[in-house]
Amino acid sequence: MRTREADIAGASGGGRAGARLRRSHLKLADPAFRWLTILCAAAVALAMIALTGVLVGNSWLAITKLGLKPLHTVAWAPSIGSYGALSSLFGTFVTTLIAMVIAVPLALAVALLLVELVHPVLSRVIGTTIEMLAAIPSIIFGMWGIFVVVPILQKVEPWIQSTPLGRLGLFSGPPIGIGILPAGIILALMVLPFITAVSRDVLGMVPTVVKEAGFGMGSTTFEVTRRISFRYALSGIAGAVFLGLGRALGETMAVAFLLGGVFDRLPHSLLDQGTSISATIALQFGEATKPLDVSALIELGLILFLITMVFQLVAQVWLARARRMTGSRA
Amino acid sequence: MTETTTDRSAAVAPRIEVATGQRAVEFDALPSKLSVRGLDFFYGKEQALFGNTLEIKEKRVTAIIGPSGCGKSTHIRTFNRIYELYRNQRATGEIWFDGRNILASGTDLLDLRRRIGMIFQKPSPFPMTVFDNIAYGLRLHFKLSRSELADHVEDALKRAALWDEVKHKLKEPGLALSGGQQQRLSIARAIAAEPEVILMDEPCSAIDPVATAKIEELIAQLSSAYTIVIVTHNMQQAARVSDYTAFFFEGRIVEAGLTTQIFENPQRKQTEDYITGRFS
Repeated sequence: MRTREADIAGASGGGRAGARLRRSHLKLADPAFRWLTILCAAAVALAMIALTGVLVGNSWLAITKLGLKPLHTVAWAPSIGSYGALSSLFGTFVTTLIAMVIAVPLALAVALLLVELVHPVLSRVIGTTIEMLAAIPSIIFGMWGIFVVVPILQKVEPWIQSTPLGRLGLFSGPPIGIGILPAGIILALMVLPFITAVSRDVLGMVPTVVKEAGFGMGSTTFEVTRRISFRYALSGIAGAVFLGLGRALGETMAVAFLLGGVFDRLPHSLLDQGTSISATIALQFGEATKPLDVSALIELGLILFLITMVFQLVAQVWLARARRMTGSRA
Repeated sequence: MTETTTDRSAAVAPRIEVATGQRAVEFDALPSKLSVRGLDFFYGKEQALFGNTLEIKEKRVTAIIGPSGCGKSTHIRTFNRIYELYRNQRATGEIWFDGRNILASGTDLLDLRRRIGMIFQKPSPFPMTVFDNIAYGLRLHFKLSRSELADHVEDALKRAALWDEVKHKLKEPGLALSGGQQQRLSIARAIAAEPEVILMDEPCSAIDPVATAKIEELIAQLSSAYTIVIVTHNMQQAARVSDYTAFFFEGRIVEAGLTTQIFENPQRKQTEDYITGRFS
């Protein structure tokens, strides 16, 4: 005869065993999920390697036939056998530089405004508006540049030329509105939302207690921001800037519209026309008839790819240094 | 500073020897550094402090104790008006500091916060070197030459009993120090700005017992030169470090007086229940 205790023990034991049984088919769930995620991560790495392979493979013809010549030749003029990359490289770097000079201070100012200075409701409204700027297709920016920025520049440029700035040489040439300067301005507008959004997020992540400690020392908002928050957020802001930089370097449509498509020489000034790597690829691909033309264009793409990779690496090294300096463990 | 210190040590010695009754009389005669009158505090529409009145004695340690959420931190956050960083927080009443009501409009907040320093629950080194952390307030508020700055930094670190531990680490980031050292760095940083009052909002709740002992020792040393207000949920700590204790409950000061009296002979039942651990 079973005792009452044994009954209870048996019943509760059986209950627990039942529960274990019901979930037993899930014992493989975690390892399976782990392998699935590993597979996904591997796919990303694989795609990266494959992409590099395709770029190198397809530009191999140009690399073997032209050697290093494109890197020290200015003009892109396939009809006369000149495959220079310098005009494109120059345009890419100068427009990106203009964009960053305009966008970075502006983005930091806006981020600061959003985090520290305006009412949270207003901050959300402005923040969302700026984020929506990032969703606008780049072709729209290009069109807006042509129809709005260029006519304005046509009026502003002669005025700049009449001021002492005009004598610098940076603003010489016919003020027709299309050229390096408007491309840089539009690029600035396009990278602004990225830099602003990331900077806002990292500034928002500065620990409250550190900010309070700053105010508690008798600092003004500006002092807390400049001396404490910005230092704390430095690595994140650097990341934001490089993110914008990467986008500006590779941007195609807007600058293709605005640069003026001059492929065979370097621009003489900010008002002059030129090209960029991505603009050259976009505008010249249709005219590339010979295999070497196509291969050379793909080589340009490879160069752009390598440049952005180098920037990414530089960014990472720099971020690591910034992290060590502030001692933040983020 | 040295002058004040010698002054004070003369005053401290007899204080320890006199009997409780006499000490109470002596205590009432001490000048107040801060006088709180009818302080109400609101988070939005919710009232957190109810007409509180409290004297903070000059160059003494006042402990503020009470269960969580009773308004201890809220109370000391009015002394430097740090609550004003948040839009929905509001204080009414009077807090007299050197003949002026600091809650009145027209108070120079930047100078108020230099004169009334604050230490927070979590160590809060700024993301810069140890030296720059200490020099932060000095650079903000004083015009000093390079060598004067270095002297003041050393002096502040010595007064915070941190100099020997960090004198070879001045160029390292403040965040690289241990938690307890970071908290003493925060104290040294506050001291460097030459405050008169130091507010400590549960300064030991995030650090280990050994570091806590060091901070308590430091508080004892600093009380000869500064008025200290410490919020703590640790009653033993309040009993160890303070001269004067205020017991808060649900936004009201239930009882305030000499620490010995609050802990040995509380007048209110609520205080006694809390002290003896009957509720928390």
